[in-house]
Amino acid sequence: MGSYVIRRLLMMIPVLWGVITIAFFLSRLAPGDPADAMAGQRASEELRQQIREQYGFDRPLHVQYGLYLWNVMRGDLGLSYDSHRPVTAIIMERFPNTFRLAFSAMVAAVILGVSAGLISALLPNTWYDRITMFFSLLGISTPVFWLGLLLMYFVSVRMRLLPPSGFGDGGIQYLILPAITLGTQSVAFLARMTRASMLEILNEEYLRTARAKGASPFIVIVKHAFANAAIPVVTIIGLDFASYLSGSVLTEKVFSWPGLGRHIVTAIAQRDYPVINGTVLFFAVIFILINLLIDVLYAYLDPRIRYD
Amino acid sequence: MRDSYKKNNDPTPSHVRLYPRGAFCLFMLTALLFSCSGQDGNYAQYGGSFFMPPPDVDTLVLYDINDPPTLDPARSWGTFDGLLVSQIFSNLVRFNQKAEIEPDLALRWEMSDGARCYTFFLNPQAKFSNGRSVTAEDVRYSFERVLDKDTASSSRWVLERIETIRAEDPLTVVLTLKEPFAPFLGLLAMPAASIVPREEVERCEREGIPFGERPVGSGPWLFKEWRHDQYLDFERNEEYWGQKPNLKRLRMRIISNAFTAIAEFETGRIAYINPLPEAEILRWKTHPQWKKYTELTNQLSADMLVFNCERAPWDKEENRRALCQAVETPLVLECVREGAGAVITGPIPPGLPGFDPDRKLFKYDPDASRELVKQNGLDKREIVLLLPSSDQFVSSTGVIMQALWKKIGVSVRVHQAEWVTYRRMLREGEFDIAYRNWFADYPDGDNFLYPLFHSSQIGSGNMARFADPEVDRLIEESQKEMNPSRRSELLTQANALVYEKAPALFLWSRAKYIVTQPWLKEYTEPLIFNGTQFLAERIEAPAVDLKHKED
Repeated sequence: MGSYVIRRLLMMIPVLWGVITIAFFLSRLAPGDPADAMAGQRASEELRQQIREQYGFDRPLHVQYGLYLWNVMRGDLGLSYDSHRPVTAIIMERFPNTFRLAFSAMVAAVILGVSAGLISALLPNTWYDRITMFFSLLGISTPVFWLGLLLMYFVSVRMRLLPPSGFGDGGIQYLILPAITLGTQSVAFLARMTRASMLEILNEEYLRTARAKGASPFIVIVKHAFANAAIPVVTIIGLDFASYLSGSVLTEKVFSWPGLGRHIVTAIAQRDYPVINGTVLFFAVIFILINLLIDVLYAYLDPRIRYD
Repeated sequence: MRDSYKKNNDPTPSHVRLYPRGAFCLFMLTALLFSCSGQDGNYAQYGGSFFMPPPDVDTLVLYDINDPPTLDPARSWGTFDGLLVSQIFSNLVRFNQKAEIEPDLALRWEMSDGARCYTFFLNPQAKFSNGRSVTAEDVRYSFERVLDKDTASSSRWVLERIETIRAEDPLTVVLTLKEPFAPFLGLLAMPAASIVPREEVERCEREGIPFGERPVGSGPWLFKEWRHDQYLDFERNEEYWGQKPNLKRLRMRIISNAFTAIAEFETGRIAYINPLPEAEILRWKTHPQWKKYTELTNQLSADMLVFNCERAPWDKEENRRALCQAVETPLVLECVREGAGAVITGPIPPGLPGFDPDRKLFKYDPDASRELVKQNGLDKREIVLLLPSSDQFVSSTGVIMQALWKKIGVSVRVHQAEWVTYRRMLREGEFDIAYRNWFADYPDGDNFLYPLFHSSQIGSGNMARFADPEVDRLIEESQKEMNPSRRSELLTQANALVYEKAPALFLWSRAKYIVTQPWLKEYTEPLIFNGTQFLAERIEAPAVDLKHKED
């Protein structure tokens, strides 16, 4: 396993190089001149040209690329064109907030989604199952921003239970609504996926054997059934978690959550290339690491899977 | 073992007994709780739940939708960062809420040499918040910093008319202009002309921190903390040498969604909604509880559809006028902005010298327009109407124009682009007609004529690429004319001539609705973006809140 992990980590290098290259050239292909975003409406052509020279936009693209690659290799993601702050500082300032939201949403989603799916699978075609599946379909189909505004209206404006938005002093009361909003789709997906996986497994011979051997229903379901049904569920959890970590733009925007997703949208609008490229690179690292973690978990969940 | 055996023979599936239905009941209970609603109009104006304490009577909490890029006067060019800069820093002169010029650091000033030379006498009491007195040398340093090419300030144009800056003595500074410029004092009240302490700028440079992140000035508010994308905190400058703010703290929150801001307002966590989104105007201005707190305020602004005057057929005045006469602007204003604004007959908005309230709009004459369109072949090609994808009402305006011009035989393709692309297309002339809006940098008619329609500004602010020697002459004369009434006449003439030549279809000057909390007292929306320092505002909380605070 150790050598597998090292091999996968080494494979990150060409993948990240690919990500850097694609992100760099794609951001440059976007229409618009960052000098327009940086200079005011009354800026002269002379000032715009000066800005282009100062930031190196006037250099050939391959030179800009080479320079950027060299800086990234030295761990320097550059300075934001907009705020003149180091991109690394911007990422490190916002990522903990994004992580906090993603983690809370995911924990809630796993607890609610997996238990709802489990119960549904254990009570197939009952009124409980139908209601759970109806709500999970509703959860999948509900747009995030709409759900966010709806929760805000009922919970904050009408019932006065929680603050509508913001981060405040980092208290849990600010986290609840965005976490519910963000996690709802995952709850729904996980409920459906858990139910489907469990239904397949519940009719397997080895479960009957386990019961016959006198294993308690809890052990049968959790140890023998769910452990085997968990692989697709873990995949969904991993992918959702990675996508939440790479910025939950709509949720962050609706709840004014100071995360990375909201910031990268602003950076794209401003053509703030260092922030765009640095954040995309950071997201790529997260995706790769979480995928690696999922693969390692597969081996843990299913002893038949061996990487060595 | 026996129990398990029993369970395995029980016809009821074991998992049914294993999982009680409590989870479902809990879910239903939560759903019920969520579906509960308060009585209609029961807005708790003072907050007041466990997680939402009532507002702090010493803190004014306002908001904007975007995190400002900087608080450095030399780099600031937006309205929000400009407003914040004006809280931390002082200028030689400043705007009041009616956009009139008032003394700030300069106690008084004198003009000489045919209005080329301005001598400012500084207030000896004025101090930076680091305790050092503000001197004429600071004025020189601050202005030279903006003008320095290495600073690459996008607001360099504000001070570019200055030829020399001389510190006569610690409290006297002399500014000599390249040529007389009547609205010069307005420029000096802009955020870019704020006075910064050199040692603090250099300290930030040494520490590798942008000065805009750790600003130190001599204004009524001290910068305390900036949590990016969350809030900016300011504290009353107890050592301020002028009139101190009534409140102790000012917090500017960043709320990135207009509807979220409304929810924040309804829970009493922010002091105003500014501006009210178009979709909400009707609700608030007719609401029995809120209508008395919903106000319409004018903005010194002009919205227009500029023609690309360098591109045929818009290089001909009659073609431009043909399109202008096919639009009934007051009706469009009513449709897209609930009437929030005033139609304009030229670029200068109401409230500024040069605006002529008696001037009539072009006669609405679609038949004549249709005739001209046919005669000049304007119906033979599709024209591109460029719009920024910023506000909903801009899109609505584009759609309405498309329909109105179709009626006279002109086929329009609406091209909506996000801001940076829109700016590039506008600058490079990739349009036939483009939406443009302009907010006053300084409250003077010149600010709506020179940057937008003077021929020297083609490639900069004059996106219409309009050049007319007579308009240029009137603008230049008005800039040099120091007699207010004569100057107003010149601006009126220039404004009228621009309207007649129709380089743009002039639409309206915007007004916006704002809603303030009943507990916010003495708040007045400034006419110009940095025309307030939040000095008079008070928060009047009910007795219950004070009790809560004491507890």
